[in-house]
Amino acid sequence: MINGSRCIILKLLNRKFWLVPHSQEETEMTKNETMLNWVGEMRELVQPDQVVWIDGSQEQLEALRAKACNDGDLIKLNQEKLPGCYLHRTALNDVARVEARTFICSKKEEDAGPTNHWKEPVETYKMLYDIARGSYKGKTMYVIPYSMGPITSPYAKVGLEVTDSIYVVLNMAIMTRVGKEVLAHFGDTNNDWVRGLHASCDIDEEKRYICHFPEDNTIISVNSGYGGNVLLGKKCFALRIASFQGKNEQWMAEHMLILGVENPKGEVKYITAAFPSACGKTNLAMLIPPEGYRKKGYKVWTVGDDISWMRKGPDGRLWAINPENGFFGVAPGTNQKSNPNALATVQKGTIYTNVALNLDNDTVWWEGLDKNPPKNGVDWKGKPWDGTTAEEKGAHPNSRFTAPAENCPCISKEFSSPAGVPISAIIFGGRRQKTTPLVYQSRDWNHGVFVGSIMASETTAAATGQVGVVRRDPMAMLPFCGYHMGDYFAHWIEMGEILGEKAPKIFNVNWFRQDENGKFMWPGFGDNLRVLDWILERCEDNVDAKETPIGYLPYVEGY
Amino acid sequence: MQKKLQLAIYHMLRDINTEGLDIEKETLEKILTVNNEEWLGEAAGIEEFYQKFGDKLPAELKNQLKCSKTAFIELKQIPSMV
Repeated sequence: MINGSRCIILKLLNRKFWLVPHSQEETEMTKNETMLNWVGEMRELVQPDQVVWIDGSQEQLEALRAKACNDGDLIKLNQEKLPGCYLHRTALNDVARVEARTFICSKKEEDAGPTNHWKEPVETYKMLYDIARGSYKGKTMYVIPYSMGPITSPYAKVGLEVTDSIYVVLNMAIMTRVGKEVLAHFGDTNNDWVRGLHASCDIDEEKRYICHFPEDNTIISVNSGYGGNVLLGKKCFALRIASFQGKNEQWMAEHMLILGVENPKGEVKYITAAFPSACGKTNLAMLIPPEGYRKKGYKVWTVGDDISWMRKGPDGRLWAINPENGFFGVAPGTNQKSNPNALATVQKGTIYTNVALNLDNDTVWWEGLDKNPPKNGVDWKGKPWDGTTAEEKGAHPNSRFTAPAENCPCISKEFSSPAGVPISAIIFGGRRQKTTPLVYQSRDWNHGVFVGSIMASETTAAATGQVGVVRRDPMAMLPFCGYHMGDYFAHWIEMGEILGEKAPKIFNVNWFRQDENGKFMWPGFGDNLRVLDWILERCEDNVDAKETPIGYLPYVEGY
Repeated sequence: MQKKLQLAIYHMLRDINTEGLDIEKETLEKILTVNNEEWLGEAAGIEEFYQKFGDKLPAELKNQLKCSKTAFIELKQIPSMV
């Protein structure tokens, strides 16, 4: 998949990248020439003082944490209360994904479609290389080999990210499987891997670009240090690049959580669900059943909170893996009521980004955590902050935690299963004050694709822009589909044909209906299991429903 | 026949399980109702959104939208369908 356009660029630059010798450290990590050559090209371009390959060892990561603290990139938190936890603050201008600076650089503009920003690839490579050139001078180039998905899974995909940011390395080491093992399993001749260049440069928002070259398996991100822009395995690879790969290889990369509902008989049924960012997705993925359900023996198991890669399995059903290895969740609003499992997950081995710091005990705080903000605090901007009197927020609304999935008390025992989990139901949802009912089922797969295509939600802080505006967001993929959305819909319809009778049933939910006074009409949170319960009963043909022009709805008569 | 009978009893118990939940029946009805007026407005919004995709919009989705719209218009006289 080495592209024509990049080769042209190399000629334009008149650099003989391929002559750079490979160091011993490199060849100990991998003998894969396609990887070694690309790393050599990148080294020539960004001109670091040294190159360090991330081997995945705890010793190496611990040394990097110490260096980051020394450099002022991380603050070590109270190791008794929050073992292995650190705080990071981004630049003030660099706090969210920037869709206006995110580009799909397919050869043809029409292949990016009307919902993506497009740039011509040859010129864009040149522009990005000009920005990144020499930008690692005096710095170290870290090479992160990572796997999206369990390393031995046939569904997993590999990437290399080079970065000058230890923060990126440490986050990637939580969010993905990194190191030697990845390369050992990948092999020395395979060229099916995603190239990712990240250069912090000056965090200049005027020169900030997050560019995807789906036809070249390449991502380049410059002038940002914020999560979604620079942890290239996540939205960039696992959604934008992977959605394009999925179209070509008959699988699906979707912006979906994956959860299992265990009934009192011990049977577990799996659901995937797509919501726009910060719509309660992580909360749903880690749901705690209401008391009545708990007493009967119901349990909810988390497989993933953000991204699902799905394929037709050997038995003809749709099977899903979570390509990630951690959670990159929105901190504000996470509390003992909204998501006790997430709160338990972030008590160790977690990197916090842009939350408030309590100087009295070196712990962290964010809006909606509890009613006890620190008096002697520091806000996300790094300024002294008294939470008991301050009018400004202590944590940025899009502040985050990066936490290992293994910390989660309700992590599924299938989390690392190479085969993934079989999916019974696919759910679409959004934040709508009215119109959209609590739940409805599509008449069939194609109607379900229609239901997904008309998804809409009121916007949040995860993407910069206005808050509270209704925006159409088909399958929650609008900012994440790496090709023409019309072709993406066609791919969904094609997948329905491939799956036939064994395709999952498709539903739509809306937890956010409000009455005339703006009060939420459905309690949400753990009680959402009642809706999942109905959905799974529908999948098993155990419960009747009323037919309406939008699909099947639950009866209320039996209430 | 046996299955139908079972289903009838089952759905009495299991529509949305509200056991232990503090919610008014009227509230539940409201959030489980299709308001045709609102959905007609929604259909107009979808139609506009779909125009973005031009020829690349699968015929199947155009057809789904057309069928939905027809259903809403036919039911327009009934203010809400339960």
